[in-house]
Amino acid sequence: MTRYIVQRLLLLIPTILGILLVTFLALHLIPGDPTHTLLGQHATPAAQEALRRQLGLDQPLPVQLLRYLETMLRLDLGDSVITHRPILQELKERMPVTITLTLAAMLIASAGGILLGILAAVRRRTWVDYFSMGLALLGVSMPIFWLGLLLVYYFAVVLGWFEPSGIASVQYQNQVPAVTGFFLVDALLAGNTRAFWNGLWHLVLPAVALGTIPMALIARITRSSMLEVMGQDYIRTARAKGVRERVVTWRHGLKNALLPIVTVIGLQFGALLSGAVITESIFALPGMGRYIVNAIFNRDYPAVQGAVILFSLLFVLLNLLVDLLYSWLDPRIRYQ
Amino acid sequence: MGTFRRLLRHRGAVVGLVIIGIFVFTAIFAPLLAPYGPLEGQLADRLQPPSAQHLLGTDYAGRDLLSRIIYGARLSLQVGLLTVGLALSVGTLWGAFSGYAGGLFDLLSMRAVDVLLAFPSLLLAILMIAILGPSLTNAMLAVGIVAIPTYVRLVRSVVLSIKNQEFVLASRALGASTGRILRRHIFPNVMAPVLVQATLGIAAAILETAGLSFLGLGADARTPEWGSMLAHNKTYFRTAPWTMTYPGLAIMLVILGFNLLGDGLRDALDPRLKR
Repeated sequence: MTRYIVQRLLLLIPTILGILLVTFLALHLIPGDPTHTLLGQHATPAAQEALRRQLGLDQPLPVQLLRYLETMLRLDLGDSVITHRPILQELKERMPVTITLTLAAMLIASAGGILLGILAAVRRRTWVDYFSMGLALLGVSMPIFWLGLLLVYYFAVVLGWFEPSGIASVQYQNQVPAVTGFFLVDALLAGNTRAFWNGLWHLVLPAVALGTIPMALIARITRSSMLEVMGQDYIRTARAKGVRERVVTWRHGLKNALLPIVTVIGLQFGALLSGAVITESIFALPGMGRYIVNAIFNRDYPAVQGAVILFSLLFVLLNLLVDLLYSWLDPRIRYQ
Repeated sequence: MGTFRRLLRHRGAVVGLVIIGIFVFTAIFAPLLAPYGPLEGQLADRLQPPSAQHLLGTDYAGRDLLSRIIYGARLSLQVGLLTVGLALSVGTLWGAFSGYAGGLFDLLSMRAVDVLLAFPSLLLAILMIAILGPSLTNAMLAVGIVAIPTYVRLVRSVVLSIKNQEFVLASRALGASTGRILRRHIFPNVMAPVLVQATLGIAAAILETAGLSFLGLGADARTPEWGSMLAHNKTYFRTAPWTMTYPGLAIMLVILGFNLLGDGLRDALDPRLKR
């Protein structure tokens, strides 16, 4: 297993170089003067020249590329054009919000999706099946920004059960000192359970909004994968020797049906990170997604670039985790 | 049994076709169907609940919501067709060439595709918009370009699986040119999976473009684009929930239609897959 992990980590290097190359080339391959777009129509030639120098655009392309790669390898994403603070620092402060949101959404999506899928498969062609698959179909077609607004309207405004925005109420945010940057973890570290529950309460609606689409997809794949597995001979054998149906479903069935499900879960991380950008904007969460959107409005290109790079690295790492999980579930993969 | 007849027996696909039919009809005949112009309205009429004059109410600028949704169908149809058209034509040619030619070109282009797929799709689109500047055209362009790698991979894998099959080899032995083999043998086989992908792709493109507009990176406030309508009405949705209910519903129905049709097409084109 260690050998396999090392192998996979080495394979990350070309991918990361590729990501850096694309973010670098994006600014140069797209026609037109980037300083014009970045500064707007009323920019003075002097300001354009200054920005060109700041972005290094006055140098020959290969020199720019080498310089760019060198600064990136020093983990230097540059300074924000607006705040003049290091972009990496600004992103570091926002990353925990995005990670918490993404993982919470994935948790809801996996648990809910697998449960719905199994129910549909076990009760095939009954109302349970039709209901859960109908729900899944609606979920797949749901625009996340609309679902988010509906959730806020019904569950926060009309019913008042959950909080409409933010990561926690202001009084709790001030009470909890930032240690890891993850509010929920920091609240627990500080022993402040009320702040923890408050933070968790704030997380519910955004996580449900973000998790719904992947949940629907996971439910569909779980159903079809379970149906296939439950028709196998070893399931009949298990039943014939008198194993209880619940054990047949969960141990014999789900365990063997899990591989395609894990694949789909892995594929969902890209959609989740994309969705996080929109979710953060609906629920006013101070994460990387809102940072990137604000950076575009502020024409802060280095900040956009830095955020895209970090988002992609996060995506690549999450995919790696899924692959490792995959090879753990099916050891044959490691030896290919 | 023909593919089309199998499709018509697929209940989901028929529902999808009906929804898409209504959507396309609305888009084409928008000026005849809409009671008002999409930009027409007075501030005095703002945020009125649904009534006989305004069946779905009015928005924050006093414009008739129903009319804007009807005109929005036009934009969404354009978005779907243009973005998928771009991604499909570039992706199919690239993928077919890459798979058929093989060698260094194939190797390099697959690495490029891998790198592009290493970005969460919306983020790559956002990167492009950051440089091009926010607008509906740029959002469409970005969404289209970001979708290209999916088609490259899909088409390449189909081409690889059939290029060494006997009927293709026989054709080459008989002296058929590369162009003829691609046209007569490869493309007909590529068509089916590409058609399914394109149908689902239209849904994804409409959704992504609307998402970008919702973030303020696509259509502006005047344009009757569904995502942008949600974005600009969202400040008022607590007091005027209809301003967000109906545009969202429109997006969802259209996406649902294309998803249903895509699933149905997949089943109809490959009956073996159906469970």
